[in-house]
Amino acid sequence: MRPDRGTLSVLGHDPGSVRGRTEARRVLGYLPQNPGFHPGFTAFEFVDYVAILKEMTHRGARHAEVRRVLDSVGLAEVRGKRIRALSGGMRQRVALAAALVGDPGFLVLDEPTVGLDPEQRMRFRELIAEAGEGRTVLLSTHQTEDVAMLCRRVVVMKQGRIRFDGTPQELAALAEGRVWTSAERAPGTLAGWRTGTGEYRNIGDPPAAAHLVEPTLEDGYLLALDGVEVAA
Amino acid sequence: MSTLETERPTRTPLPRSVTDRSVLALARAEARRLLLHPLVAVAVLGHLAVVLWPGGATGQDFPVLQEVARETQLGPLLVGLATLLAVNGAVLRSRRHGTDAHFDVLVLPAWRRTIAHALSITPVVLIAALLVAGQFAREAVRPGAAGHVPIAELVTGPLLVALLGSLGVVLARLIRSVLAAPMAAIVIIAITFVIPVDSGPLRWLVPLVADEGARPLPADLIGRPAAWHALYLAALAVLAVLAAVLAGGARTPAITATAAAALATTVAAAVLQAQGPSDALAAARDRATNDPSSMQVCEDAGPTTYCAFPEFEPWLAEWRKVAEGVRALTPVQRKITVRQRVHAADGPSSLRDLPPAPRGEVTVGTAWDGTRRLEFAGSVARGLVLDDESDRGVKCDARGIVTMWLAISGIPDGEARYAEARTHITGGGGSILAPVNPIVLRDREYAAVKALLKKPKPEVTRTLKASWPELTSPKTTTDRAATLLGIPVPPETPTDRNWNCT
Repeated sequence: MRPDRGTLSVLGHDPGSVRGRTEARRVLGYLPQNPGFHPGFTAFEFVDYVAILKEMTHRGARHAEVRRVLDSVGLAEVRGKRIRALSGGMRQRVALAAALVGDPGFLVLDEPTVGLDPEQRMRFRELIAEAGEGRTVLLSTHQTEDVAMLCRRVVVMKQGRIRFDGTPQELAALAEGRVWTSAERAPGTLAGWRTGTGEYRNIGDPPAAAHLVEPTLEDGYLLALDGVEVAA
Repeated sequence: MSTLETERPTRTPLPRSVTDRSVLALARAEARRLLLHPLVAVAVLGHLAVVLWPGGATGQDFPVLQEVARETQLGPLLVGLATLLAVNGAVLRSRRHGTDAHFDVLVLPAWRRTIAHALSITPVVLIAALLVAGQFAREAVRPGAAGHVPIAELVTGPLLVALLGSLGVVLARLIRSVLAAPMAAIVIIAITFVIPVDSGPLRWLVPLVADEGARPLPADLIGRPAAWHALYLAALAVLAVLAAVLAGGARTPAITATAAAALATTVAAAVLQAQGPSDALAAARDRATNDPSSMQVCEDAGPTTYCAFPEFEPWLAEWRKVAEGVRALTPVQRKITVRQRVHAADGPSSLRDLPPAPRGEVTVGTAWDGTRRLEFAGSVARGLVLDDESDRGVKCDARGIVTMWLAISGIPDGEARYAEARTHITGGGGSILAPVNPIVLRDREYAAVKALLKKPKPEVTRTLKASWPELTSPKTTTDRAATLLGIPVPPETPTDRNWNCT
């Protein structure tokens, strides 16, 4: 895919050329949204296979690296187990290990916490935070909690266009003065729902004397998608 | 929603050789999985079992090496079919399990992964080559081995594995269905074993071309275009791999040019292998059939001369043992020539199609084992008693009894061999399928032979030598022979009278 305007660069490499694309792939770690696995492979074999596809040719060094990344995602004990025997959370960690193998400078994580239970999600956040130390991480997600807890910079895109580019705090601030509670659902709001307290939480343009509340990142995200422009 | 963190400095580009080494590393990983694949493992172990089978794959003490070489091709065909299925599954693995999208953003592109899959076949090919070499060597070192070492026939087996494995790779790249490889395997089995061997030159397009003759021929007379067929298989394998690589997305001029060269070689080899026997071969076959003496080596041993096609010279001592064993039971000192003969004028055929040898000669074929030993003993006995190989009738007199007794008694395990041979014969009477024309007796004469075999051999030999002229005269009846030999003989039955005696 070519950029509509400007230039595209991945850690200094132009993915538009064959050579640049190869070089970009050499610095890339990728965790797909729905990662596939070869169920007959063990966790070690699968990550080792990916390491080979990442041009890690020296067998000894590659195996050491595979053991390192499996240790780092907490799979040292099960690395000899076949993937078909692993739980969903463990498989996701295998996928993260595959993305991390070779110590890529650029990590793309596509919806990494989808389908995980809260405990697994917390553990995964720890892993992503560790993985983000010293490298560029692109986290593509609809889980705003993950963004709030992990990210320094947020880009909100809709239909290929950037609707927001700033920090998580700035994204949340986008909803400053636009979130309020009321006894009845306010008409004309962007979104409104009854909360556990019985009050309605509304997002949009508040009426006069509305009872404003502290906005969350998700509120800012909804407003950004709706087209509210805020300079980061 | 997306987030971005700090950027890192650009890494130093890796050299191209790293990519090549990655292909080899992937090939090693895939090769290991391929060798451990149940189908391949079972096929290889099955082939190994054939090689190590007690008594050898052929079970023959006197193998003809050009025949053995052809027999080594069946095992690799099975290994190749297993490889086809296994490697096809390996190439389709990433599609089946949804890792295509992931792997496509990694450094090694699909076409290089295809090369790695093709290279992963190499260890299986090498194992097949070792098994073929082992199977052949085991037969070749037998003291009774004869014939030539046909290299082109021997490399056909490993090339079959290479071709079928490559076919598995290209099928996976062109037809992304797990059903394609099993269907291809069924088609290959069908065209290999169902298409008749006399279906003309087109049969050489099939990977494995089965045996085409009833008897072994001297290597120079076979006329199988084995070298062209080996080239055809090799070029086809290379073409299949390159087609897979092109389907995988490679578009380099070198690959395209090599694919074009492989295609041209395949077509050229296919055409050349389909050509019939050359004029020189036809002439050599005609000479071997009608004037074998001009192509043979001979060895004199007493009153007998033994002549063989040069590559069958190791069998002269075997023939001599049999001929001397039979002659020792007779007083005959007349010279005879034992001549090896083939019927090759129209390609390999049976000795039954040969005209009889001239007087003074007896025929021996190009196969040798226990049964052939008995048949040859019959041929020698007939030569000593009748001196006429053209005599194809039923002997209803003393000569028939004497000839068959000599054949059976002339070799150490004659009675056992005869009993074994008789299991394949239906109907009454006795017969030995001696070369060119069989020796056939009625029930009555056969009963006399059985009675004679119960008597001590030295005693019968003494009587035979003493009464040789009378016992080998066409005028001596069965009753008179029984009297001379001191054996009972049953009366002639209506069934006996139905035979056309000569």
